[in-house]
Amino acid sequence: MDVEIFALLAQDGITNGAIYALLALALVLVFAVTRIIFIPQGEFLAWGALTMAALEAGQFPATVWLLLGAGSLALGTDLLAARTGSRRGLGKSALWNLAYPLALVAALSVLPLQSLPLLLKVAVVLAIVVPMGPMIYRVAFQPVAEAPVLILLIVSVALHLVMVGLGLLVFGPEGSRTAPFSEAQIALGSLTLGGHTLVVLLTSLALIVGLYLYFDRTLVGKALRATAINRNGARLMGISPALAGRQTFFFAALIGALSGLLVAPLTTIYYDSGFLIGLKGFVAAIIGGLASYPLAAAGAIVVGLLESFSSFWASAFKDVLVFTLIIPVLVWLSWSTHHVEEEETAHVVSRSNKQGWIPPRAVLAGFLGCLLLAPLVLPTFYVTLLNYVGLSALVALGLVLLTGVGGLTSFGQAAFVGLGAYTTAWLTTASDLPVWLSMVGGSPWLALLVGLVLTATVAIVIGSFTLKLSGHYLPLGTMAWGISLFFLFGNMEFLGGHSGLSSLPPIQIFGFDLLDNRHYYYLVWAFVLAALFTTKNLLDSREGRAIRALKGGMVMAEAMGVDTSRARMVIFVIAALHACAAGWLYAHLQRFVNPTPFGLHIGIEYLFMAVVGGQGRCGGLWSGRG
Amino acid sequence: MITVLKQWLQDVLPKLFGSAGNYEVIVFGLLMVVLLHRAHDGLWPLLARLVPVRIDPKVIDPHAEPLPKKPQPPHGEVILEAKAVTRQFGGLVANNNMSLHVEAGEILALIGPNGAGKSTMFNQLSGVDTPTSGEVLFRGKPVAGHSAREIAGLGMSRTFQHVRLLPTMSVLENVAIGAHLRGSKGVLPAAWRLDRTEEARLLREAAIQVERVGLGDYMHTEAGSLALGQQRILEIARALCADPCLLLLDEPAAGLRFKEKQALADLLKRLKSEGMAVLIVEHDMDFVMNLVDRLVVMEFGEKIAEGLPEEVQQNPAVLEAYLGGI
Repeated sequence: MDVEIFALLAQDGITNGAIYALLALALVLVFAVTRIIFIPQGEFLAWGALTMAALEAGQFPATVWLLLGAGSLALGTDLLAARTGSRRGLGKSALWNLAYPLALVAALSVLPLQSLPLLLKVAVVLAIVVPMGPMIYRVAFQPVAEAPVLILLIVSVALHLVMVGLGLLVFGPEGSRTAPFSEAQIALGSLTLGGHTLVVLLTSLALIVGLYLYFDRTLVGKALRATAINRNGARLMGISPALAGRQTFFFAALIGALSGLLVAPLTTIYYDSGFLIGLKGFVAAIIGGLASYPLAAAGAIVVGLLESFSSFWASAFKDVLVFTLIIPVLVWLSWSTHHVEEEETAHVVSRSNKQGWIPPRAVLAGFLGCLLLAPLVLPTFYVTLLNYVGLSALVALGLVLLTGVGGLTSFGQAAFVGLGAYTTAWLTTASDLPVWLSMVGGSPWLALLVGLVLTATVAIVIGSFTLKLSGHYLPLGTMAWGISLFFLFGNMEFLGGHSGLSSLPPIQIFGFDLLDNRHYYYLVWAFVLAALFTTKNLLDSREGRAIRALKGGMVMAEAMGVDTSRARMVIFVIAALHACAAGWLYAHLQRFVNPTPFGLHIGIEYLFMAVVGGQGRCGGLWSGRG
Repeated sequence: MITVLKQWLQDVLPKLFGSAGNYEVIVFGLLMVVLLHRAHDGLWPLLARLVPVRIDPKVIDPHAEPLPKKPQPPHGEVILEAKAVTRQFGGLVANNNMSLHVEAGEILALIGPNGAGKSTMFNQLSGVDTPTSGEVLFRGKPVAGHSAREIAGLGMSRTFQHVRLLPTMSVLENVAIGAHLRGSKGVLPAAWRLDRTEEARLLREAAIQVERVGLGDYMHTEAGSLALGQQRILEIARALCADPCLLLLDEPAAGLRFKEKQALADLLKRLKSEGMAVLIVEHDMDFVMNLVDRLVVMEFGEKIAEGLPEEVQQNPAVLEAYLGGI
């Protein structure tokens, strides 16, 4: 590689890095003030970019309808809240949430959109996208502002799904690229600097400096900082956390939309591009420890550079590299940060202590009876569905143990499912296994064993550096390795790449091939019941109490002699093993694997199941499953 | 359920809205948001209300073999000794050259006005924090810098100033956590119910301790529903369940009513007569003066007095610290 390519790559990296820096800034800001890990940050980017594209194409920007919708929802929420509380501020709410979008619709329908000068177009895009930030906060987050970080995170993930879905609806599946802000080419020696690159760098710098001044010099900015440091204290000083939240989201949306405008001329933006770009912003934010703005900005540049250089050398592994970058950072953080006991107020659940009359054994017997009979009476379609329900249940069960009982959040469970599935797929189909593995080749049961051992090893390795992290680092860390493993599956030649591996043998029991879904059903549910049985027993034991003590604070558990890092590792490995077994079952049910079902989105879905089902109670999995 | 829901949405929504778009994601996400707004704890509690399953309390086997007990050290043996413990946070000296010792069969109180450094001292002794300099000896072994877990294993057990219980677990189970180090069965035996003999012994021990502190009536109640005073007592039971020879109590009388205080004092006196060493950090003067054998008084991170309650009450330095001069 010569100097010219190097300079080109570096320029590319720094440009992208500047955009990641902006996103990282927004993420740090949102997290600091509201404790929300704001996954949909990238969606603002995509919406901004695509709205601009629509303007350039002379179309009426459909995002304005989204604005109208979000506004009406926000107004509706305000109205609902006003039923019980005060009616003050309703007028203002109506003005912002209803009158403003309507006025915007009217204005846009008369303006000659395509022929507007560039800066006016930018203004229009911002006028459409940015107000959605506060509206979204009002609707989705303000009612649960006091909830634990995990709940906020799940809400934010759900919101991400909604926004991506709406994006597809509004913009369609085609990608767009917009005209650069400046076509100028500046020659510096042998190196040409694109005008747009300069615009990106300058805008980022201006925004960073502007934010700094805002937070350091203005009263409102200081109020936001105060909220970030201590919510209750700020409230006592008369700072409204709800207002602070809305302001923060205003900035988040502003930064998101702006970075969308900046990035759209550089790369084609699709309705779902925001997510990956946003995640890279996350990597940068994590490097900054979710707290430090300058470190996050520096991290963003590193991410940008790494990405551009790795795309030169190993383009297939570009994303893997970026997301594994997080791991050494997390290790470093886990060593350098003193473990602080997080003082999250445990909200005491007031469970109605109404004593029921149905004996538990009867319920269990009824459940088992239904399970046993289901495949005999239900049509094939539902039996197949129940098979998948069982698989999800197995994974979700592990997550309930991990998240609900132990208080650890993992988004990466799908990757463990993939590990189980791919291990068996490879071992049972590959014709050229290495010698030392050839003795286990061909048999699904041996492959299950190998998969479990492999998963346990991987889980122990991953766990040994991510589990030390407390609070919000852990979910982010799991996201990182979830994505890394996913990209690995897709890029490994011997695993069939993105098309996957096919024609897996069926599972045999005593020489009997499980080909029919009705037969397979019993295998799946045998696994689920075994997992349920063991989990319930485990929780009802000495080790189980130790695991449950994790939620009561590390200091207490340690003072009672519980080895908390071991307890965390135990549930992490158990959850991973459940996932691996589910993957094995999945692979032989489908008799085909490809990377799609093991991506981050599915990992998120598993977590949804665990949370919806009611984390914490062993019984929760009965309902959350499926 | 989610799989079913998604399938159902995928089936139904295109019929409602026409075929384009993936509405199911949008609806699914919205449902999640609404659900989390309405029910933080997920659907299970809602469903559980529909099916009134009887909750059977845990069975305590009164004939289970008692757990082995460590021999209590003889009366008068020095159990815990701090020698010239100093703890600095940057420029702030929270504890300066603090020395104290606790003997088997005595109750020592560490008192002092707010901000005197009592809690910091408590953390140095219990292994939560490490002194900058100085030594902490537990039964002759240096323990400064060792983890709280190791120290717990040696026979020191503690309670917390801010009660740390698992509110949704029963009193019995909370107390059983204290016996963690007295069992040895691991995860695999537990999962396949091979640990039941040991489990019965642990639960019996926990039940004995619950009875001992007088919470027998609440054995199977959720710990979170107890009054604060009872929760403090529960913490003591949990600490006792570890079979300690030294109890560290951090403000055990805070939030207790008069009767409860009396009951607590009786309990502590009984423990003392059995040879237990007790160290109390406390604010409540009446409670301390009538209970303890010796007092150590702290102010500004230093020891300003030590001795019998009557002596300390007459000590001018103490009077000054508490009453602001004579």
